[in-house]
This record gives sequence, structure tokens and C-alpha cells, in this order.
Amino acid sequence: MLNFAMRRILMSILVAITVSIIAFFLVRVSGDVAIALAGEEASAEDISEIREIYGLDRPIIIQYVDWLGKAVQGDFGESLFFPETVWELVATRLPTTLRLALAGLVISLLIGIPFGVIAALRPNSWIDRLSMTIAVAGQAIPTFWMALMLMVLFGLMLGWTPISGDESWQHFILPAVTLGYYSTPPIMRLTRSGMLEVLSADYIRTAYAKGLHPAPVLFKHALRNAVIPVVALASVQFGHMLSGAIVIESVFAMQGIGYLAWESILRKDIAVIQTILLVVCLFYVFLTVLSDLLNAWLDPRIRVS
Amino acid sequence: MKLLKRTLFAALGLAMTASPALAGKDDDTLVWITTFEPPTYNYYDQTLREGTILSRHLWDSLFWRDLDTGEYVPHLATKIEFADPKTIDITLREGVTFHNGEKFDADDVVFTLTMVNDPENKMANRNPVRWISKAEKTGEYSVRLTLDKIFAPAIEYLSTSVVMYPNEYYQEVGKDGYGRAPVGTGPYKAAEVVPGKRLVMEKNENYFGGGKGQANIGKVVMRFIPEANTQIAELLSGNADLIWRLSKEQGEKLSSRSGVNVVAGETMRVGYLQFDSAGSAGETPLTNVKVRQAISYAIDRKAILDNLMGGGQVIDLACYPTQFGCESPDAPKYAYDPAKAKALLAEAGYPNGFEIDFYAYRNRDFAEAMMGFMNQVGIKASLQWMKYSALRDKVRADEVPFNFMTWGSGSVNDIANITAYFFDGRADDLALDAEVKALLDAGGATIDPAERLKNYREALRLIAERAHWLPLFSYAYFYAMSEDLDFQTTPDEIVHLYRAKWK
Repeated sequence: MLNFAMRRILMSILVAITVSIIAFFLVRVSGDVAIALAGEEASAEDISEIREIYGLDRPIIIQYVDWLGKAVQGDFGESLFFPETVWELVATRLPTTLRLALAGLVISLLIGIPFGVIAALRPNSWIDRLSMTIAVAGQAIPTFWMALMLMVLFGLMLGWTPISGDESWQHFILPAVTLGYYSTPPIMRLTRSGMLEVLSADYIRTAYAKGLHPAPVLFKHALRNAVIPVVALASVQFGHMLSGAIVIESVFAMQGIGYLAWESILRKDIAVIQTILLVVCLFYVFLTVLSDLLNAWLDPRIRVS
Repeated sequence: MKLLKRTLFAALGLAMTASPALAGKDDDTLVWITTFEPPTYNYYDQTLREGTILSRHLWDSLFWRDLDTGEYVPHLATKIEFADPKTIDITLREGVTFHNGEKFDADDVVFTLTMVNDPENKMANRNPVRWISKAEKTGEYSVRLTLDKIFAPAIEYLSTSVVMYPNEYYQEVGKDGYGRAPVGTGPYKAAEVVPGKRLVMEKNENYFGGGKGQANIGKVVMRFIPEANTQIAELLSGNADLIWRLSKEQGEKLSSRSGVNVVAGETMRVGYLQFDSAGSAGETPLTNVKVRQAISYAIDRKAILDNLMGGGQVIDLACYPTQFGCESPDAPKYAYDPAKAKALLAEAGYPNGFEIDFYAYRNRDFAEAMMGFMNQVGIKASLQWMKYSALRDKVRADEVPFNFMTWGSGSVNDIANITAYFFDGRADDLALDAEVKALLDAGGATIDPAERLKNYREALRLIAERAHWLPLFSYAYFYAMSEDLDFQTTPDEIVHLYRAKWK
């Protein structure tokens, strides 16, 4: 188990470094950072001065090594655009994104698991088809569009929720529903297939044969086993939500790291982009490792393989 | 994507049937939503348009360019005069105080100009004061500015983008502290700064007035929302009184809505086609003046303006019409004439047209329309779509034969910030026309208006005649506002909220 965990963690570090290298060079090849910082009307003199002030005139490899060297010591540098350090910026914005992602995950579990169970109990019935329709729609509808539709309906026409911002829990309702709905289908489908498999297992048949009431059979014996892979999937979905927050936070004007990432990409604020990518990547890697370990712990066959 | 947009507009249209609850007038609070929050409220340490707009509200310049007449009138200074072309003497207004009660005097002017100009202070927006080499106090209310070289638009700068900071307060709170709690002399004072969410400005009851006059509305809340559709939803729900920079499509949709007024505000931003007349990017048909003229005749600028922009005006000279020096009655104009374009191409040796790379970074629909017009006379333009910074890089590296770009002149109402900039022989000059450069240099080397006008007139004539540029049109932004709000747009791309009032 320890070897397994070490292998996964080592692999994760390599993934994080690779992502940071790719991101760094992609930002640099997409145009001159100094021009983006100076603004469209900047003169060549302004741009040259900014290039010098921020050390953007140095070779790109040196800039990357310099950034990496400081980053491993916990110094993520200063934003090229904001007066704060990168870490201050990210630390200020991260709680909003985590709250949003967590709320989204709860919503997707609250929708996905019950519908998955019901669909499995009545396979090929109208409720199963309805669940499948919801699942397909959730995957097919772009989150951007979904967000605006919800905003128009509940924020503008009905006036039940705030339209944008992140100042109260009510502000999180529409963004969390949007984000959660997108993650619902895989949870719903995995719950359904897991339940179908478990419900046909011998021990369930035995439980019924012993005369147990259907509710304990369903919830105590069947669901507990069927949702094991769902728990692992949910941790990965949480990672998806962190990256999905870029669109959602921009649409709802929420001050999370997703919105910060969007702003920084637009302005080529490379130190901020790098740090956000690293943070999201580390979260994702951590959650993936957690999911692997959880699976391995729950299912000894994975450890052996 | 188009289908998505249509559905969205349909939904917004449906939402528009709900009655609006436009607020603001009752509590004398104007809520303006814009896209970006300045990274800091230290005006000289940021480069965003929103920061420039705030500079007119929280701070003041020495003189003021009257927005209706274009005249320079006294503001923080009562007199500005040239002792010689490189020395400017300024007499300051007495009795002005900053929002924190600090007295405004010569020390503030000297401090502001010296501090911003010092590279050690790493101010991101040094451009407004870079031309001043020294500022010295000559009395409690008088200052002398010394320049290394003549700077023709000096008065324009001193009347718009050069604003004054309080020296004592700034030194007390420092660069970052000032960016979080700015203090100026302007018609509004910063009452609340909530990073990422809003800036609340309250009317400065002790404002001296000057050229701007007193603000009308008691409180202005500036909010930041990146997504235009969200801004629209906030306006329609009554949570905002003013939004701007809407597309023509969005503006037209909103204009049918009762309770909302939509206006297309013309701006100083000019769209242009720039030809590599000098052949720096390699030998192409564009080095032939007849080819450049043919393209100029081939494009129906008015059609693009009317159908795609929805505002603005066709521009014939390489500058914006209100800018000082932007007049040249003898310059040729290129009205839409495809037959003439074909004839010129034939004369140039391209009767069947040619193929060329065409670079652009914004308004893809405009670029494609222009390609369609060129195609009608046989020119097959291949669109190279890039980000602004990448394209600007490429232009400066002499790798672009033909581009469609825009320029806003930094809201400076002087030809020095556009024509002289693009034809000065440096990296952005693709014409490298020595005669034009000499004329523009001569215009910039004097502060005598008549002399400047004479040189600029001839330079603009040559630029048009030799078709180094095809000026296209000025840009228009759509503003949508509550019907209770009386707000006038201005071409400087600045939202002057202190002029707004309730109906």
C-alpha cells in the first residue's frame, strides 16, 4: 500500500511540473507579455520600460528556472498587474472557489445518487428514461449557457436569487447549481450501473430470501456497496469543479481563483497563471491520488494489481 | 455558438417582458457596471481604461479641456504660459483642498510629477508625465516645468491625463496604501473600496468646481462584471443604472425595452488599414501606390459602418476629426468605387488581382466584410487572426504586409498621439516616408498652432495621396441606461459621471 501511494505521489509531482512548463511557454508564445501589461495604446518606450522593470527581457528559460526556484521555496513572486503578491492574491480568492466547488459537489451528489438509485430500481421505466435524459442534457448543455439561463429565469424574471456577486450564501445558489448539474450525469450513471450490478448479486437475493424489509436491503446492503466507486468519482469531480469555476465565476462575477485565472490569462499575468495552474493541478492530483488510495483501500484487487 | 447566442437573446427578450424595477434616482445613487476593476486605485500605477476614467472623478488636472467646446480652461491652475518652448510656468489656484483636507499647493504638483517620473518608483502609467524633465517650485502657488525637447501637446496633457496627488498623504500611506485608499481633489471622493466588488464614490461637497463644475449625483457605485450578458441582466433587474461597451446586437435588443435608453456613443478610436508601403515585410504588391489606392476604393466603409458598427463615422484622414491638426482639405478621399479599384489594379499590373495575408485582432466580422469587398475586385486576402499583443509584436518585427487594427490615441485630442506616432520612422511606421516624417517632426517641434497646422495639413495630404493608411471609421460603443438617467457620451472613451444627472 505504501509503495502504491509513493508511486502515485511521485507521478503526481512529475505531472505538476510538466503542466507548469507547458503553461509557462504557452503564455509566452501567445504574445509579448510587456505589451499586454502596458495596454493597447502604450508607446514602444513604455513597453520597453515595462519589459526591463519586470525582467521580461531575460531569456525565457532563465525566467522559468527563476520562477520554479522560488516557487519550490514557497515564493510565487509578485503579480505583474495587481499590487499584491501572487500568494496573497490566490489565498484571498481560493476560499470562494472552494466554497463554490463544494456546494456544486453536494448538489451533484444530492441529485445524482437518488436519481441513479431510482433508475436502477425501475430499469427501462419512464423514471429511468427521465434520469437518462437529465444525464445526457447535463453533459450536453454548455455551463456558460446554462448559467445564463438560470440567471435570466431565477435572478431576473422571478427575482428569487441575486444575479451576480459572491457576498452572501444566496449568491452561491445559481453558480453551484450550474456547476453541480454538469457533474451530476457521471455520478447518476455510475450509481445506476453500480446499483444494477449489486441488486443482482447473490447476497442481495439472500437478504430478500431471509425476509428482510426492502428498505434496509436497499440502503444498508445494496447502496453502501454501489456507491463505493461513486465516492472515488466524487473526489475527481471536485477537481473538475475547480477548473470549471473559470467559466462560472466569470459569468457570475465571483471573486474566486477561476475569475482570477480568466483575468490573468487576458493580461498575461504569468506568475498568477502559473500559480493558479499549480494550485489547481495539485488539488487535482491530490484528489486523484486520494481517489486511487480510497479505491485501493476499499477494493484489495486494485492493490494487488 | 450562434444558436446559443440566439437562444440567449430570446431568453433575455422574454425576460424583458417583466417590468423593470430601475432604481437609483430615489436614493440618488448611480450604479455603473463595467468590465474590469483597476488592479490598484493608484492611477499612475495601472493602465486600464477604467483607471483613466476614475482619474477624471477622483482627481483633477491643472487645466481642463471643456468637453463641449474643446477649449482649454483653468482648473487646478489659473494660468499656464510658455516662458519659452521648453519652459512652462504655472500659477495654481488657491484655496483648493484634497478630500482629506490637505491643502493643494506647489509642493503637491512638484511631488506628483517628480515621483511618477522617477523610474525607481516603477509606476506602470508613466506616459502622461514622461515628457516633463523637471518640475520645480517657484512659489507657494507657482511651478515651473522644464522639458528636454518641445512637446507640442503639452497643454492637452496638462488638461486631461496629468492629475495631482497630495504629497503628504501619499508619503504617509505609500504606493500600495494609496492604491487602496486614494485621495484627490476631484468632484467625487472614494468612500468605500471593496476589492473585486465595488468602489463607492461620494460627491465632494467642498469641490472647487473649476472647469468641470460640481457633480450632480450624490453617490456613484462602480461595480465590476466581466460578462456582458450578466451586466444586461443586472441593468434589467434594476440593480444598475448604466452599462457600456455593448455590441450593436445587444444595444439593438435593449433599445426595444421600455425603461431603458440605449445610445451609440462615438469614440476617438479609429479603425485603419495599414499597408507595408516600404516593403519591410518583403516585396508585395502593396509597395505599389496604385494597389494601395485600389484597395482604398474597393472597400465600402460606409456599408460596414452602417451594418456592423451601428454608430461612429467614416474617417478620411489618419486621425480623429476633433484632434488638433486633423484637417487637410486637399487630401484625396476614397469613396467606394470598385470599378476604379479594378482599373487601378490593372494599371499596376494586377488585372486579375493577387493573394495577400491580411492580419487582424478584433472585429472579425469587419475584417471578413473587408475581405469580401477586396475579393470583388480580385484580391484574395487570407485572414491571419491573432491576439493584439502578438500582432503588435509582428508589426514591429516587420513581418506584417497588411493589417486591420485600431487606435484610441489614449483619449488625447491631438494629432501627435496618432499620426505622428504611426509615421515617425519607428517600429510602428510601415510607410517609412521621409517626407511625411519631416513634416510631422516639424509640426511637433513648435508650439505655434499655425505652424503646426500647416505642417500637419501637408503630412495628412501626402499620407492620403500615397495611401499609406486607409482610415476606416471611428468606433461607437453602445451604452444602455435607466430612463431616469440623463447621461451624455463623449468621444474620449471616458464615462464622465459627474456630468450625469437624474431626469
